[in-house]
Amino acid sequence: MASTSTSTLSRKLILKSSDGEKFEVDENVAMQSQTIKHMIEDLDDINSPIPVSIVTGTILSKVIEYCKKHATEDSDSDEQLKQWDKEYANNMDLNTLYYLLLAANYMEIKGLLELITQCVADMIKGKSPEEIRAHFNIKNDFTPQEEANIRNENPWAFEN
Amino acid sequence: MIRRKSSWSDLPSELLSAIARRLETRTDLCKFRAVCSKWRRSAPNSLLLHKNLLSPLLPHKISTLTPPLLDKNRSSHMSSEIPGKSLITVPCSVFLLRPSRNLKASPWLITVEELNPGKFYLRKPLSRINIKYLPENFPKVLQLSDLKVIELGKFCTLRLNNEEEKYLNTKGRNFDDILNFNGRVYAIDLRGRLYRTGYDLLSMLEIVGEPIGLTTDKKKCLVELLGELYVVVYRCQRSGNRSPISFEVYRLQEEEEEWEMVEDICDRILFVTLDGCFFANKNYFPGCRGNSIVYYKKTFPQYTGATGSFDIGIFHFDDGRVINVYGWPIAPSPRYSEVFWPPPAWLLPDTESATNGYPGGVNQYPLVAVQVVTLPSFIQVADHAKPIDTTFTEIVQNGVSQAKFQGIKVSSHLVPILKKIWDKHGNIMQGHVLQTNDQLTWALESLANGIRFRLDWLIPFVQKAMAVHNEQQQVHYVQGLEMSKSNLLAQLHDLDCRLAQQRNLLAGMAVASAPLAHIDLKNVLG
Repeated sequence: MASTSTSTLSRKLILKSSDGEKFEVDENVAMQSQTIKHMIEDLDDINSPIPVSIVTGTILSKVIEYCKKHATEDSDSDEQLKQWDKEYANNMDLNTLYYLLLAANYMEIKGLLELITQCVADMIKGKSPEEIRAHFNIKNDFTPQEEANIRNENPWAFEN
Repeated sequence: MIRRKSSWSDLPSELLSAIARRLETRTDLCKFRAVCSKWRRSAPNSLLLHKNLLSPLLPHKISTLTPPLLDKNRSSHMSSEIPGKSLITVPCSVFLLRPSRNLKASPWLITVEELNPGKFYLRKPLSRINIKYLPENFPKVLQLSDLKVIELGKFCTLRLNNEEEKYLNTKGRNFDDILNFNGRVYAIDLRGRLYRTGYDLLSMLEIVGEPIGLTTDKKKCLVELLGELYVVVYRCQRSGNRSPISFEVYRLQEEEEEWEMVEDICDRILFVTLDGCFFANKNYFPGCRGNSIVYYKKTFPQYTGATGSFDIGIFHFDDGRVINVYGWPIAPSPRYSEVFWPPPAWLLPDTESATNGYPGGVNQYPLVAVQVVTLPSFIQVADHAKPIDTTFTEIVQNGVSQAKFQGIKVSSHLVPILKKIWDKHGNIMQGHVLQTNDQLTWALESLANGIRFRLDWLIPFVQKAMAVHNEQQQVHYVQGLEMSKSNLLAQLHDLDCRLAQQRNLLAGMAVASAPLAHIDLKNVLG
């Protein structure tokens, strides 16, 4: 009985990715995105697809996977949810992570944004600038003079 | 649609900034800023000023009326000398420095402590003793640009304000050593019994059936290497002409829950200090033998080896021999001692390499001038430290009388700590494996003592508990509120008056005023 009552209560929305892929999701899943929440408020016809303009279908499906998990979080303990988050982020390649970050930002999904920024920050921690550049495929665009200044930026100061 | 390749240097600044804000130490943030110009612009210099060098959470001050560690086993006059002072958990690290242009030069191993955020105290090698007066030619500011810096060990020390550490050694039922390993807290007691916490609970469970080592061992320390847990056993027994000092190292086979003796540690050198142990590859130390233990002698109570002014000893696994390598400030064995003291020539500014190495001199970087922070204000550490602060501020020592906690007898001064643990984590005794009340008493006291004694291992738990509050926006929001609290209170009063006026007005009219009456301004304003 409980499951039928929730499914009748929860409306279905259709999200449409930038490449035209459509996803049917429960309203409470989609509402994790502040952007979509605001869009729904302005929407007259809830049955028409909601465009998520800059997010591709591949990425959107991953975003929805996250939102689904977090929409039903009461079944899991905080610890399990955190573990799930960790595995979710760890399973992404760097390219996916990049677009997920943009998507989370655009769709305003706070939890996902935090998860991804933390995941990226963890990759940076303990690495040298050269290693960071290699990891993220970033070109060093500093002049030698700038570079010399940067290297001297974080001296150790001693008490005496 | 064809997916474009990601371009991390073109991320919107707000996202790069959000990532940078999650970096916890100044070192990491500086490296972030050194990646490319876009990243550099996204993480402004001002972010650096609020970051500590070694740890995001430490130093952390624990205010107590009477520091709880000090009364136990102490004469009364000792404790009466120090009321009203506070305990500070300070981070410390052991670094290996080498000139990047000449990696064959003898390295320098330094132990530093960050008592005041952003500034290091140099310690006497491997010890807890801060050097108050550095040599005159020692650079006050050390540019790292031409150095290779490796962090070999990362620990923390509990200090009573700025006192020497000698007051803080506790004896009795405490654990010999505590280590955060694989996300859990492991502890070993003097009898060689190993305990660990559960993943979710703070309850201590005994995990290895057979205690390790002998009950006559002087000390047992825990250390991690490549994802495995080791215990270092320090033994001191007189037998014939052999050196009375010996060490044994055991590795925990996690699945079998058995200890396996380690005959040698190959090309590694194991360092044993009061704050913790760490391994280092012998290749970092040209001319030094591997397969040895370098130890700070005062790590062990009642050290009975060769006495004199030698602070550091070396134990060789090959022949079981112990030699003295280092004495403060004399250096009897140059090969080893130059690793410790004095500071190497390549570091000092009056040498040629230094002149080449630090263009522009050391005084052109004003960054450090801002960093001088005195003790009373130093509690303003990283934002995240504040929640911990409220958790541990009220530890008060009431003597050693007995009290009941959850029906279990414990020393009454530990009750507040246990209460806090209970508040935070619920009843962690549920499902415990300890059979008798005596054991429970012991477990609870050890837990509480452990918390008071070393806080580093607690951090993951506190972080866990804080995770909900960790959202950056929320932190800023709370900070903003704190800063303008007094203003708001004044405004609140003002608004209260105006609300009362409005209510009167509305009541006079026929409009429904009931909903307005329910607004609780205090809640609205947080």
